[in-house]
Amino acid sequence: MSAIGSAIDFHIHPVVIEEALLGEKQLEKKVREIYHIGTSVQPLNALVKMLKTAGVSKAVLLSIATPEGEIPPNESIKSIVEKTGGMFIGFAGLNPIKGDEAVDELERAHSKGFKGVKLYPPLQGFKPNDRRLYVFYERAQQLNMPLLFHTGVSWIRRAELTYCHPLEVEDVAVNFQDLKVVLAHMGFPWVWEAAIMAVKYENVYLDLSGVFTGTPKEHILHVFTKILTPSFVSRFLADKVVFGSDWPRMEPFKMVEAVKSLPLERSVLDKIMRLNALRILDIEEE
Amino acid sequence: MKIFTKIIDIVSEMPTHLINLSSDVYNALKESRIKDGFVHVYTMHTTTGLTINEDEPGLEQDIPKFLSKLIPEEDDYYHHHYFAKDGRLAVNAWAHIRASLLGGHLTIPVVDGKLLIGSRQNIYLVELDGPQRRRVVVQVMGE
Repeated sequence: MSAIGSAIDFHIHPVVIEEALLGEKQLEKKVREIYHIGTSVQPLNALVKMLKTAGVSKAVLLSIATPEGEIPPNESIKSIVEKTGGMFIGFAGLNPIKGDEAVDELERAHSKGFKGVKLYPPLQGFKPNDRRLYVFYERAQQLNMPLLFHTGVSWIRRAELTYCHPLEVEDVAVNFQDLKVVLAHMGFPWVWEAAIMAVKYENVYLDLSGVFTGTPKEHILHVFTKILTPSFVSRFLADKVVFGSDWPRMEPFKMVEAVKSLPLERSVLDKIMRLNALRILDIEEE
Repeated sequence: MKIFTKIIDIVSEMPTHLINLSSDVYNALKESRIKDGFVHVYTMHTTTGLTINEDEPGLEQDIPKFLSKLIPEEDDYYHHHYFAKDGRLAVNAWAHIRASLLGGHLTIPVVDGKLLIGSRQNIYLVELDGPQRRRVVVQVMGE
């Protein structure tokens, strides 16, 4: 099977999916205000078609526990995961700063089938190295739930770039060596810092989602052949990078085409497109 | 004069393809009970087009293929920048330009309750940046 034919998209925000918004206009308003997403609301089957067109067989749906609530609600992600026969994997939106209460929520999310947690420190108002979060990290490590941290550029106005630097997460990587930490967006523009974190710490991974400097092809080429080099990626990061689109901020098939165009060996592409994600998520290929 | 409006709500299947809307337009006309006048077909999107052409599988592939040759994806487009309104980068200038060439509306005469249209003519929505939900307005005007 072709590497592209069975891609796993590690980074989808179902914030403009009808079924995730539960028909609540207030929720859609929050999406517009907080995420600044202007694209139209789509039915779930449009997203499914987008993924199939891209050759994506599985995708991670992310919720974020913003100060205004989970967007979209964890329950709506759970419901989509359950009714789509294994196509989607849920990452819960949780606020880790709540100590034991956060640990309880994490355990509940785990028991409901969520595979990991999405954290967005500058939006959620915490610093990753805050000691109050350690109980949360400890439990996530025990439950084998990867944490996907937003790093790099954020288009969310209130999420200050100062707090999006990948090195903000280093303390977590150092102190929880068995906790799988995924740094979103290759940490762009701090790509080298994010890359070196992934090289140095066995438990740190990178997702390549998001486009910040041009079209998907222009941006992906820029990151993997101008900032980094194909040789470095093949030798140091082949087991550390996962594919992601960041939909609705970019369409999955455009990202797949962009990654496919990289001058990397097929075996390396295969790891990036799906094998690394399977390992992080601890799931079998169907 | 009577005016009847119907919105066709569809989810396209691929990044670029032709969707035959002829039967949807015929059904809207029938529902309107208007015998003489016009049917106006209008797409509510800037990355789709409307065209009338022959229902032939080869042509359904040729039209998108040659639109892609005429307006390639790999080029320098001013549109490709951070688009604050959408909270993302705009990366589909080629789809907008292809849509502009095709046009976004069609008018077809109605006589005696039927579309005055050639036997080979079909009404197509041309998806240029799918898959996604698309809405096409069919408005029938007449008596």
